Amino acid sequence: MTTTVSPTKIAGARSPEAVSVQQLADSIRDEALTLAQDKYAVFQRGSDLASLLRHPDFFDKFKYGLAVGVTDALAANDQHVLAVYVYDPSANPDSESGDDLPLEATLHLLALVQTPSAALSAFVVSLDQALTASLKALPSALFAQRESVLDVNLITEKDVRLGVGYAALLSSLFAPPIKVWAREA
Amino acid sequence: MTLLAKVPPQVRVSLAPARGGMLATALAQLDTTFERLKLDDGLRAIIRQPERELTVAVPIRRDDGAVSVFTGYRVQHSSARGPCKGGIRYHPRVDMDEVRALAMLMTLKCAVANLPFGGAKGGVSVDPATLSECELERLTRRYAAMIMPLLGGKRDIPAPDVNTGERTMAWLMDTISMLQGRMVREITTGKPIALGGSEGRTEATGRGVAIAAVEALRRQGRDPTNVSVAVQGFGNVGQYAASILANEYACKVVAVGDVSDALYNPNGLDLQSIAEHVRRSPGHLLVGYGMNGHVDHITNAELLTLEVDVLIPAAIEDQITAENADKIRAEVIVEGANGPTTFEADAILKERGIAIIPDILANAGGVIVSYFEWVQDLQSFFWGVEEVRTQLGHTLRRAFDEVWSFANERELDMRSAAYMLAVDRVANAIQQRGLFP
Repeated sequence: MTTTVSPTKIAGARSPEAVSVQQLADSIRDEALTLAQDKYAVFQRGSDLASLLRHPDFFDKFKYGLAVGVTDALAANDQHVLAVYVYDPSANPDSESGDDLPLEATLHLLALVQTPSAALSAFVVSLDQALTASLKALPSALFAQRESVLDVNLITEKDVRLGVGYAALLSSLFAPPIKVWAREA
Repeated sequence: MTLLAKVPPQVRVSLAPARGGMLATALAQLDTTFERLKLDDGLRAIIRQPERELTVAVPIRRDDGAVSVFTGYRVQHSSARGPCKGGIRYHPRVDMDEVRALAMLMTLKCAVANLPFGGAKGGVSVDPATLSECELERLTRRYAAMIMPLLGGKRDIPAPDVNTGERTMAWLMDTISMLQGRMVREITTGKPIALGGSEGRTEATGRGVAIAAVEALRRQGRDPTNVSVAVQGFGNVGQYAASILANEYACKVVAVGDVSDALYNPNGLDLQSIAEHVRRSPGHLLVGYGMNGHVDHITNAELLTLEVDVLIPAAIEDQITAENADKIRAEVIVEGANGPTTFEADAILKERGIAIIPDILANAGGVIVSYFEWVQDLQSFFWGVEEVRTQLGHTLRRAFDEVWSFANERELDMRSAAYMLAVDRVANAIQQRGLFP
């Protein structure tokens, strides 16, 4: 069986006003699958989706695609979102050994905001529910019983300056997050 | 009271200096250590500077036919004690100063464990998430070819680091092997087992942390049996440290935590069932475990301040800070993570007489098994996991003992002693080799 990804393309892409949150989540999932397939080695692209999702490289690309989609949604939803980073809380403290960690479905993001707002937090909760439901449709045990897949931590510039809480991760040497997007000044 | 908990004459050292100006911070730390050791000016000047630095422009053809050029680095800080050893990281923030500082830390880390290695580090300034698998392979192979003049099993041996892994090392080894026309397994560590990687590396860092904890307890005249342990971070390191302490040393692990939850049972946790839950749970997290009431669910902040004999922060940096250091009630802290204690917190904990086994010693299990991988590759003779465990135990206990003795003789805390011993060893090697020509 070959991969059949049929992205539910939504006109206007990420504007949450234009589409329901569930449609948005489905679109994020489908575009992430497309991105992962594009980035995956050509000779392995013919595998079925269940196999692909078990492959760490494909899964990593898929997760990054989800991060990009969620970031777009957060940025479009709230002008106070300044930047979004993806990080891995389970990074091996001694990566010298090179040991590969088991696949992990949770998407860990740091959202740098001017001020945290209840509205943004509520949007994150609702997007999480929709995305979790959307991912359950994929042939992967990693998502089958999930009740949540999004771990979004809101941090402020002051937090970053003082290096408190999750904001301290931005200056981490050993588990540095990767910036997915930043709002242009 | 043991010397482990001695209030310092402070040596300002940390494995995780603030990234802003981290080279300056690392050098300032080094200068303080020089001062304490009353080191000769010439030796100071040699150790302060990396031996060799290489910057490379790494062009790759993208999948769409375009060409992108990335900047790569390889820094050899010191080869005084042996071939340079250190990982290669892929991250957009990588720059020469970061690589220099990390190379210096590798020199010290290898010296503390008394491994016959110097220190190095490398990296490419790239966001690996934006590259396809094929682009990543091309980047790795081109970077490997461009830093090849520096590499060699007896010169400079890379390893994985941030955003690189065993697959990256396999590509690197294959590239050098192709260019040299022979298999050079020993050119890198952290390879897949099929290509000369070592058994026992999955558990290596956690096993090392467990050994360090037991050695610390024994130095305090305590039997590890039934001592209470809390572990923050239930990933690879925390999980192995907890299970080895419970199963091999009969410690009572009363709390474990990860980003999703923290579990507490004063009578001891059933680690086997927790590990099974984590293995089976889709996100490999603690969340959802023990919902029938046989464990208490606490916050990670509460876990850190539990009244336990041993606290093992095995998650990320800067978990014990000036804000919570005065609330810590553990008697011994064993740093499984890199830099879990901030500089300010370190001072507070020492004032309070809490013993800290520093990261540079406690989590050296990974680099020690990297050394074993190199030894096995050179000999083309591969050990079973039991041999790796035995040798890891010998090496780490000896390192602990040496740091302990150094601290004892000079009335130092363990962190200061570890750094001073490391610098002293490097200086000694430079002195004994003399200057060429």
